[in-house]
Amino acid sequence: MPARELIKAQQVSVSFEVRRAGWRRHAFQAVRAVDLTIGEGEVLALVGESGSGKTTLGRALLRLIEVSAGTIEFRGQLITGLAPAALRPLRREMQIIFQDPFASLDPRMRVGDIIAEGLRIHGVADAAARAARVAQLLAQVGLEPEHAWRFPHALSGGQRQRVGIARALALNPRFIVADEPVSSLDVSVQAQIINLLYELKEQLSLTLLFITHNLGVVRLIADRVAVMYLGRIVEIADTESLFERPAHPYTQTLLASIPLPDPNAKFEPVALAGEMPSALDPPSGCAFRTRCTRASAQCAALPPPLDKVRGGDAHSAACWHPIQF
Amino acid sequence: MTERMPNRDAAVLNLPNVLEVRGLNVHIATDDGELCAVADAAFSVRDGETLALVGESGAGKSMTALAVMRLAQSAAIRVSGEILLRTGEGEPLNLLALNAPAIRAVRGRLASMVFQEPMTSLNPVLRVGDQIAEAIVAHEAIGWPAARARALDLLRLVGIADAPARSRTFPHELSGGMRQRVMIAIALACRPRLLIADEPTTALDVTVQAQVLALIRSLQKELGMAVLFITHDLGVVAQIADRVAVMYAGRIVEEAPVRDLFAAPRHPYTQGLLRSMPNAGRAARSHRIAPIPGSMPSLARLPLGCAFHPRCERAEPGRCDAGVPALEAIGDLRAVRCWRWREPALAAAENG
Repeated sequence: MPARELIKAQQVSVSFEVRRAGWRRHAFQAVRAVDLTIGEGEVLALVGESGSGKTTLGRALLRLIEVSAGTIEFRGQLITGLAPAALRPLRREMQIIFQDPFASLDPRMRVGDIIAEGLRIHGVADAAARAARVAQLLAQVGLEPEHAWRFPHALSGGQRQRVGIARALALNPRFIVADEPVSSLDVSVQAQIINLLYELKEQLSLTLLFITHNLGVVRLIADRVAVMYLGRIVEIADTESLFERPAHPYTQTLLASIPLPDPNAKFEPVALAGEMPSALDPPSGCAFRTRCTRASAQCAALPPPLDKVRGGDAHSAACWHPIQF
Repeated sequence: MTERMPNRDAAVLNLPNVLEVRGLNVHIATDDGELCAVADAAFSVRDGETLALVGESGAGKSMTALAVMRLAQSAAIRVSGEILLRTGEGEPLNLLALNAPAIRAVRGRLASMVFQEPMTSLNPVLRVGDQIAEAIVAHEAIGWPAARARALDLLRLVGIADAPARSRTFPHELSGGMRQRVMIAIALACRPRLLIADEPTTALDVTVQAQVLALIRSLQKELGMAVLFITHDLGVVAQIADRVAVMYAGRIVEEAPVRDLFAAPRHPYTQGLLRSMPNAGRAARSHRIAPIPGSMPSLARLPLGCAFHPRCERAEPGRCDAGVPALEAIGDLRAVRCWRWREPALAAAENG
């Protein structure tokens, strides 16, 4: 990891209040005591299945969702607890790209206005300056100048996602959370958008948090990978270290479940016992223990800390019985 | 699940076709005129074999499946061609020629379908056990108590633990993976000869998907049915298919046994698709991937000639933009729809 930390999250938890039978209130912890550091210029992939808390964590890092506990620093400045007015200048530095380019663009706004909206809000008052910036951004994401006059419905899925990227780049951010940016796109178009994101990241020295369930994309572009299960990071490592030597039994299962695009590859998924437990009522200790073949009494008693599994490299897992290589 | 089914052997070629589709066209009337959603589709699926129909959204793969099941029924949709279902000795049934009661007797009994979204395909106010039993009662001379008992066996067959309790639950009480298992149980209730699975794992998480794929594979082995598997995911294709048909803008552009397709794709579109697929199974050499430029044309504005030519780096003006190439057979097992597949540039790019 590069020496300079851009994002530092410590013991971050996010709870939502839900009501169940009898109108009693229940706290539902979507993210539990997460420690996470992202270095400047890094591409960190956050992976996990639905309900693992990856999207909630991504939004909490941008303070689009308030944390219920813990602290988040952006370039050494504490952003949790910061008043909205004080947060606003920092908002320019942190942007998000959404999954669904059909739902995340206002259908009544022209593409140029969508891209310029952030500029307007953040005080680029001169219309000519805004138009020039929009033209520059359109070129940067591979669209034509006349696209500025179109409405989102006149664009293809890939083009819409390019607009979403241009909007995120408008204010020269340092940090971008890309939440499943290619999941709704067809394979041939998906590759175009992945390339574009990576090229922009290099050109503009961006830091990317890439939230996805597509592990093929992760292996292609991520420097490091964090795996989430039921609100916790269960493993974090350099990409190749994670794919080649997963330490957490859940990561191992996840990797073995990917159908590889190679008919000669062995497909031997490990059937997990049962289903992912409800986050309303997670198991004691390690949340994965109810489905884990390595679970012992210790796993039920105490949640395992996210500790280094091998001396010397940045590979940590939250497991009492990690897989040894 | 430790090995792939060795269906690519020559022995399988001698098995009869359960499904044979010839010259299938699906036209849809719209405000902008008539679209051709499926053009001249021809393929077959043998006993115990899985044919994967692959393509991106709008390629016509789901429409093909719906047409086979005679579910593409609307005043705006016109289906023509031949859909032959061979169910035993004697003459095959031409599904397009059957009247409504006759096609209802086929659906769910001889041929069944599993859909992508199990929540919208199940009846939300009926207990899942009764939904399975209903499928049996509809087709067989059997009482409800016996049908319910068979429903329990089916729930066990699709790997649902504690079947008696689960059979009394409603769909909303089950997880996505469980619901898809229930859908499969309903589809298999009358032991069909043909199962059509339309993106059955697309809405599921990867660990659940792995279990459902394993289930479909083991059930196919056990029951020996033919499976038409529709998907956009080349990883799923590689792991479940025996043969593959690739669709683009309403037409089948390539057909091949799965290993041949991945080792030596002949159509530039297939080659492009395989190159643009990130592979989690190997370390990335660079952070780049080779995309196909542009996107699939809308069916309302199909280019002249080969529909892929505007995106094809080997398109030849005057030829590829002039006429639609025919699906040309290469040996017994392969076919490709490209004017230039014989030319060395294409052959050399096979493993690119």
